Amino acid sequence: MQTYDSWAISLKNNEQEIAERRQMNEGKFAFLLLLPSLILIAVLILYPLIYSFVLSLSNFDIQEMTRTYVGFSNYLAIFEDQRFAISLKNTLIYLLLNLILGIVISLILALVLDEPIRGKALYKTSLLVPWAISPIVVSVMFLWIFHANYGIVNYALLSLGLVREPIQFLGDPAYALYTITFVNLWKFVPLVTLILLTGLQNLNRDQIKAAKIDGANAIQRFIYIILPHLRPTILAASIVLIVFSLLTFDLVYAMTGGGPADSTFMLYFLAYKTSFDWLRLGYGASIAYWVTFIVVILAILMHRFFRERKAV
Amino acid sequence: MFSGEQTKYLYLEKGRKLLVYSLIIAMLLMIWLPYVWMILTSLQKELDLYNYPPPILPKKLTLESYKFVLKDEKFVNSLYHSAIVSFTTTAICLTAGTLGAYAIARLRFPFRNTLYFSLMILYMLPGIAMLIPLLIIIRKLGLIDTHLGIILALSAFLLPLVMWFLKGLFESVPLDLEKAARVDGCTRLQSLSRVILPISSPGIAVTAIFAILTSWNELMFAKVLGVFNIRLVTPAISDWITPYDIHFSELSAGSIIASAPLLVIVLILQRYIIQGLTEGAIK
Repeated sequence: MQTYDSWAISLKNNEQEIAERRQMNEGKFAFLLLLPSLILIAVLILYPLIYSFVLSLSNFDIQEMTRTYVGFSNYLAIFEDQRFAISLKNTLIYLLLNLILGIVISLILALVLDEPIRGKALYKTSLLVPWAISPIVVSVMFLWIFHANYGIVNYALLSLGLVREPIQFLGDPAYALYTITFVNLWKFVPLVTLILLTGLQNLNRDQIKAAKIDGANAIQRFIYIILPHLRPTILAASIVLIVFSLLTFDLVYAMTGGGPADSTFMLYFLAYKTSFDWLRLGYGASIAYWVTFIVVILAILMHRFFRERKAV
Repeated sequence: MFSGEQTKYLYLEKGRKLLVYSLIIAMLLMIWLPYVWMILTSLQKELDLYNYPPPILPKKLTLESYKFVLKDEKFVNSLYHSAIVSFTTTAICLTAGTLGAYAIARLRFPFRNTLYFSLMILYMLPGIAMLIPLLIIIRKLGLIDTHLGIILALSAFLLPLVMWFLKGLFESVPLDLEKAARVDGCTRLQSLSRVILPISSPGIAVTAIFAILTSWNELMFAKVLGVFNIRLVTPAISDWITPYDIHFSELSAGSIIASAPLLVIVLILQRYIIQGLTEGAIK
C-alpha cells in the first residue's frame, strides 16, 4: 500500500516526465503493432522497388545472369525507342479520353441519380456490377460483344444500316484503342459516379435552394454553385480515374495484346512486355519507373486535394 | 385552368423527368446488358453462336458449356487455388492491417502522418515496378508456384489499402467508448478487441470483401508467380483466350462461374460496400 501511494505521488509530481515516458511507450507499442505490416511492406514492396531501380540502372543478361551497370542510359534510351514513342502517344490519348469522357459521363449520371427519384437504391446497386467483375471477365465479355463477324454490336450497326461493312473493333488500328477506352470506361465510370454522387449529397443544400428561389435555373445552379463546391471531389475522382487507367494491364493483355500494329501498346503494358516477354529487364524496369514517377506525382496531387477538401 | 406560366413549368417538369428516367434506363441497360449477354452466350451451344443473324433470344438453352468447364480439372483446380489464395491473403491483410491501423488511428508516434500518407502512394504504385524483384525474391525463398508465394505478394500489395480503410473505420469509433473500457481496466489490445472491433465489424466485413475481390480478380501477379502447379482462375481464363481459336460459350461459362458468386455477395452487401467505397475515396 505504502509503495503504491508513494508511486502515485511521484506520478503526480512528475506529470510531464510521465507524459513523455508514456508517449515513448506509446511509440514503442505502436511500432510493435505496426511491425508485421512494416516487415511485409519493407520486404515485399520497398525492397523490390529499390531492387527495380538498381535493375533499371543496369543491363541484365538473362542467359549469363549477370548485371552490368549502365547508369541512366536506360532512362534515356526511351527517346530513341520507336515503340516507346507510340506507347506514350497511345497512353496520352487513352488517359485524356478516359479522363474527359469519364468525368463528364459520371457527372451527368451523378446529377441524375441525385434527383428525387424512385428506386434509387436499385440504381446505385447496379453501379457496383462493373466494379465487382474482374477485368479479365470484362475482357471476355466485350471480346464477344465486339467480335468482328459474330458480335452483337456489329450486327446491330449493320441491320440499322449505320455501317456497310462490319467494324473490326479490335482488329483495326484505327479503332482498337477506342474500343479499349470504351471498355475501361464501362468498368470505371460507375465507381466514379458513386464517388461524385456522395460528394453531391454532402453539399450544403441551403445554398442551392436559395439560388433556386432567387431564380437561378438548373444550368446556372450547376455552373455557379454545384460545380465550384464539388471541385475537390471531382479532382480526387479524376486522379483515381487517371491512375487506374494508367495501370491498365488486363484489358490490353486479354483483348489485343498491344496490337494491331502496336496501336494499343501503352506504357504500363510496354513495361510488362519488355521485361517478361522480351526479357530486357533493365530497360523494362526503367519504363516501369517512368510510370511510377507519374503515379507518385499524381498521388501527391491527390493528397493536396484531400487537404483542400478538409479545409473547405 | 392553368395559366401560361404554369403550363410552361409543368412541361419543363415533365421534360426533366423524362430526361432523368431515360438516362437512368440507358445506364441500367449499359451496365446489365453485357453481363446478361454473357450469361446467354454461356447457355448456348458453341456452334449455335455462329448463326447469322445472331439469336437475340436463344431457342435452345443448354448447360453443356458449364458441364464441360466443370469437367476441366485445371479450371476446377484454379477455382480452388484462387479461393485459398484470396481468403488467406485477406486473413493476413486483416490481421496485420488491424494492428497497424489501430496504431495509426489511436497512438501517437513519430512520422505517423507520413506513414498514413505513404499508404496511399504504396497502394497506387504500379505493380510492374515490383514484379521482377518479387519474382526473384520468391524464387530465392523457394516459394515460386506455391500458394504461399502468391499469398505473400498479394498481401503486401493489398495491405496498404486495407490499412487505409481500417484506419478510417477505427477513427470513427468514439474515443470515449475506448476510454471507458480503459478505465475499467482493459489493456489497449483488449479495448481494441472488445470495443473497437465489434463496433466496426460491418466495416471490417466490407474491407474483407474488398480484399477478397481484389485478390480474386488480380491477373498480373497471379500469372507471373503461379505458372504450372498453382494457376489461379484469372490466368486460367486468360489462357483460354488464344489468337486463333476461342470457344466463347465455354469461355463465358467459365467467366460466369468465376465472377457470379462474388458479384452476388457484393449485390447483397451493396449498402455497406457503397458506403465503404465512397468514404474511402472521399475521406
